[in-house]
Amino acid sequence: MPEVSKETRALILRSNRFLANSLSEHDLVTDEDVEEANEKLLEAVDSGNLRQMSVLNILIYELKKLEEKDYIDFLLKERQIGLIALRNYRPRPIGNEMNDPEKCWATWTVPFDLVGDYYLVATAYYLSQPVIDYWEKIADKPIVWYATTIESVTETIDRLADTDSAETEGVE
Amino acid sequence: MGNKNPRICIVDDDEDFASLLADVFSQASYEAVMMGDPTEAETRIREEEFSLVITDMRMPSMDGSELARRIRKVKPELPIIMVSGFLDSTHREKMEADGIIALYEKPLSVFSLLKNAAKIISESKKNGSRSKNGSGDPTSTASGTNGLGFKFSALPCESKAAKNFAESLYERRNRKQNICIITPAGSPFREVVADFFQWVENDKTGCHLIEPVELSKDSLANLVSAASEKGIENLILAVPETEDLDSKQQDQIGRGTRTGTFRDQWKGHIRFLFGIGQDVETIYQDGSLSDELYLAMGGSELTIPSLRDCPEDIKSIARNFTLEDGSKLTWEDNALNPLTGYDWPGNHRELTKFLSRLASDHAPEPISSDAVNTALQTEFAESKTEDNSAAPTDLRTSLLDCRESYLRGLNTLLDGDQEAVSSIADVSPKLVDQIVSQ
Repeated sequence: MPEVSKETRALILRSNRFLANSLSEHDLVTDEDVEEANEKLLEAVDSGNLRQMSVLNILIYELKKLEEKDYIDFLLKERQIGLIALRNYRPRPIGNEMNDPEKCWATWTVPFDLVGDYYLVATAYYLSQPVIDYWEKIADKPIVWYATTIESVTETIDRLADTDSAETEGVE
Repeated sequence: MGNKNPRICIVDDDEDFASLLADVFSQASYEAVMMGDPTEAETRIREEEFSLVITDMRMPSMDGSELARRIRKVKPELPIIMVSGFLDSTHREKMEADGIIALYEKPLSVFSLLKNAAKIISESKKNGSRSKNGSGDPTSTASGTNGLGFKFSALPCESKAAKNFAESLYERRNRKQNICIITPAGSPFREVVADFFQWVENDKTGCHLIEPVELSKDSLANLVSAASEKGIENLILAVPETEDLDSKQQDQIGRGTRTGTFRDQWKGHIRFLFGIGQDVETIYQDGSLSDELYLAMGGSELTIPSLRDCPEDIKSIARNFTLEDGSKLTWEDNALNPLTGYDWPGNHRELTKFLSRLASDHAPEPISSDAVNTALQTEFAESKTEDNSAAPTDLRTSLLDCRESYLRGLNTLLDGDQEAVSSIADVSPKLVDQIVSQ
């Protein structure tokens, strides 16, 4: 596995730190759960596999300490954000810094369209403020945020990467 | 989403009467919270925000006067109304001393109470802002809380930035998560921690500041062991200059933040307040923080505002600067103004040092604007010598340079007639003398 850059590593840890903190602050998980997930996160970061570098993923699928449905319900109720399933949506590569897969994995966020003057961005990390700040800083237009599942983010990043490589091959 | 309606705390062991009041206030768009037990009420009032307390006088575990006295200690600005069927003249006389703002005898017109409550809440808000902007000594309010509604002495909180910081920290006082306090050079981290500790310390919560040199696995274990012996359930540990900890100490803190680390000795919870010199990201990317400690730093990062962002606080600190004999510096009109034109890169520590120097040169005489300007020139020259790191020149520095050059030029043109220079440039002869003799 290629080693992640120092900058991405910092972004991964920051995104996850704030997400884990929000989850425990809102009693969705306990401090002990967060500690266990953090240890596994550090192992994942050392392994270099970007897809495993998520406390949310670890808490939901590996440790089974959190139901994704409860997390999404909380987001919809408390943050009043729209939910989107991207499986049937054809994501459109935006073609700038916003489609860097490394940054998408680091923040579990994927920009999937540009409509008028707005980027449509889906994230599994809406509770992590640094994630929102990061994307709003690099976007040159306002963002309409959607909450989505981990699976949806994973699948969309992969599809965008496939589209990107297919386009590159076509050009060649 | 937070509820913006004023919250009323109704404390009465008579459930029927409390329900009646709660219904009336709820229908008038207040958020009414009923509590039958005054001890529970005291705890919740400490931890939550209320706009008004309505309490009964006679209750089983604590009477209304005692509850009012306890509330007054922690939230002196929170208005309290007493409602009771058992009021005598002694109660009326003690009312004001206990912090009770109005007294109602049962049976009463709840609608009159409702109307008066609205008025009291509105006046209480106005008084809060008045105490913040009051004439005379703006740092002194009746309650000594700078309109914050809680005690906070580390910063004067005359400025919005300092007030926001104090409120954000206070809001987080009863959470479990660690807090990272970004502390610009010379800012009063230890004083901030002392304020935080007095908000939260009680029989079940122990608070300690651990100096970096004292931090070790053994010192953490000793604190845990003492907490266990005293029946303490929560430990709050403040660590200044976290970025200066060596990797071994960081590892120990990283472990210390884990709930399970001391499980065999103690079942409680440890919360850390990390003091850190600059932005956590920068320090992490510099390699001064381990991954584990960085992850353990929690999701709250608050920055003690720099003095340059708090001009009102600069004046307040100067006005209240106390000399060794307990007296305060006296200032001529407008003498404080020049202080706000300087950036104070060394923040509170630099300002305090500067004030001590001014005091030793001038006290007990009133300090003039010229004296401040002259001392600032020296301060400025010193800080310039100390920092030759080619930092970008700010507007003030450029202007001061221009002024010096102008005064020197004028002095040459006028053949060293400093009095004429002073008169033409409209500055004090002392300043002219200081600049031309450099």
